Amino acid sequence: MIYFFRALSAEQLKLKRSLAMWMVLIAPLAVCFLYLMIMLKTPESYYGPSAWEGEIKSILSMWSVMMLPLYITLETALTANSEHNNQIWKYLYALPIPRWSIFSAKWVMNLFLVLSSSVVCFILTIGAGIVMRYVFPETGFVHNFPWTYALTVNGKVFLASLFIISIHTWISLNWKNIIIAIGSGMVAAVGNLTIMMSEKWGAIFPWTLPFYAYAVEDVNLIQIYAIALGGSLLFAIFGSFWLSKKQIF
Amino acid sequence: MENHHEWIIQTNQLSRNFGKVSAVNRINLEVPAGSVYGFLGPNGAGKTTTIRMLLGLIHPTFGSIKMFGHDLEPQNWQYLKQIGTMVESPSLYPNLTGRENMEVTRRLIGLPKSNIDMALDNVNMLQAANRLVKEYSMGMRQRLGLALALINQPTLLILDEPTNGLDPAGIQEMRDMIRELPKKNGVTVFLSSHLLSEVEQTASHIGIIHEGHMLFQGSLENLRSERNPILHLGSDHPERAAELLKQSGWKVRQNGKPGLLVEVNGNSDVAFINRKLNQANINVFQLTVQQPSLEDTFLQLTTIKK
Repeated sequence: MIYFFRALSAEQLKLKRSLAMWMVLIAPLAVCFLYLMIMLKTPESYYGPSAWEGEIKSILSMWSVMMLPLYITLETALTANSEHNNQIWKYLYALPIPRWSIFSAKWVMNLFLVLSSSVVCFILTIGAGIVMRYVFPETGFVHNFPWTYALTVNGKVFLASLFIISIHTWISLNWKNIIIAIGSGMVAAVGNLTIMMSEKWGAIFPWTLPFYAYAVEDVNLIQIYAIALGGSLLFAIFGSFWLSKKQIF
Repeated sequence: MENHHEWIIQTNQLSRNFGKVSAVNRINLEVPAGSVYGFLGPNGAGKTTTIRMLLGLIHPTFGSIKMFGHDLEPQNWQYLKQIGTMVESPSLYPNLTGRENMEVTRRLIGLPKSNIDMALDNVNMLQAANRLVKEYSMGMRQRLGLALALINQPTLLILDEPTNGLDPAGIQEMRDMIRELPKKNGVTVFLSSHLLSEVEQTASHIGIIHEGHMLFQGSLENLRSERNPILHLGSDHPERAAELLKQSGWKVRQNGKPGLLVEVNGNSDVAFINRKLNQANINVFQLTVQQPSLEDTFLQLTTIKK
């Protein structure tokens, strides 16, 4: 276990001054800023007492359906590319450390990056509502912020995204060509838009799970979490095993 | 003759194929402890493939490896604790400073912080350590790569083409550092290169590989004593002369000029060649015997023994 914590500590240092670190702020900021613009244009839609819930749900829709899958694709590609681009693998694999520790640390760091951006998205959601409260005091944003609801739905989205993180961590570490990492994420994100319409497939397709976890009623949440968490863990173990066996040419 | 326990690296029939291509073919490396072993060969000879097998980055198709007297098992990475490495270009994160790059490795291996300054000092990089690597020159990157290889105070240093991309001053500086390592730190150095001058000026032992085959292995003295003198031969029909001599079994090379280079054993061979060419109505105007340089020997080994 000591090897894992050492590798994690090294991963944390590698993020310094990296684009991956900036993306933690940029991705949620883009979504929340865009939605704030929409709210400022149509304040009348937020006159009721459920203004906060409406805002949270709308931002989460933009986040979970489009931005989150693309963000995960980009972050995993960026963290893996710092190894691919600088030809680090031959050096890392010649160090006296077990290879699984490299994959597992990278996986946990990717989870942390997605969790961090989810927290930033949560904070910016509150910020956008506060801006509305001051610009349009007649809207429902004067009511108290629904902490329990907001934390619950954001938590669901994050948990349901774990499977995608594992898949993309493996893809981006396994293939040096960033086109494969980015391309697979884009195809999945577009597929997401189609598959989410199908109740049958939407509840099992990894990329639609974040949306289904909080937005679709009468959905079997246990099944969703079983797929997301179980799939994530199994894929992480598979990825770790796969990359440990990999030869570095 | 060295004792077998003194081999830091020993391979037995080590081979690696890529599809139908044999990149490394049954080589038996024997690297003595405390030596600077120059692993010499032209580009594509199999040097990097051999190094990757020694480090466990790729698996041999056939044969075995002993490191520090122990058989190398797949997935056994513990032996790497005694090895420092730089394979081809140095592996650096450009968004980090030199010191931070060292810190990444220090954290991964779990070394004391003092090892960073020690390794940086060894390669004269303490001053520039706090600058971002993306601002480094090629020479500074190579030196930092060497510092990374030294951070765990290895007993064996494996360097693959360490002077690649360096200017003449950088090459000289790198050579001096490598030469000093066995004396200063007690490190055995396994150094691959396609540059004869680099190996000649740095190594105490030498292995020559060509097209996956080991052509020579031993000390520089052994190599020098094995070399045949070279006859520089000038004639009015160099093509005919070359053909005639080759037909008679002589090892002949052309040096790009009208002259020929012929591997001979002594003056009696020179007289015989002169007579033979005269009998064939070829006029000889130059016959000079010289002890071959390492470059001549390398060419003898790689072009004639092929």
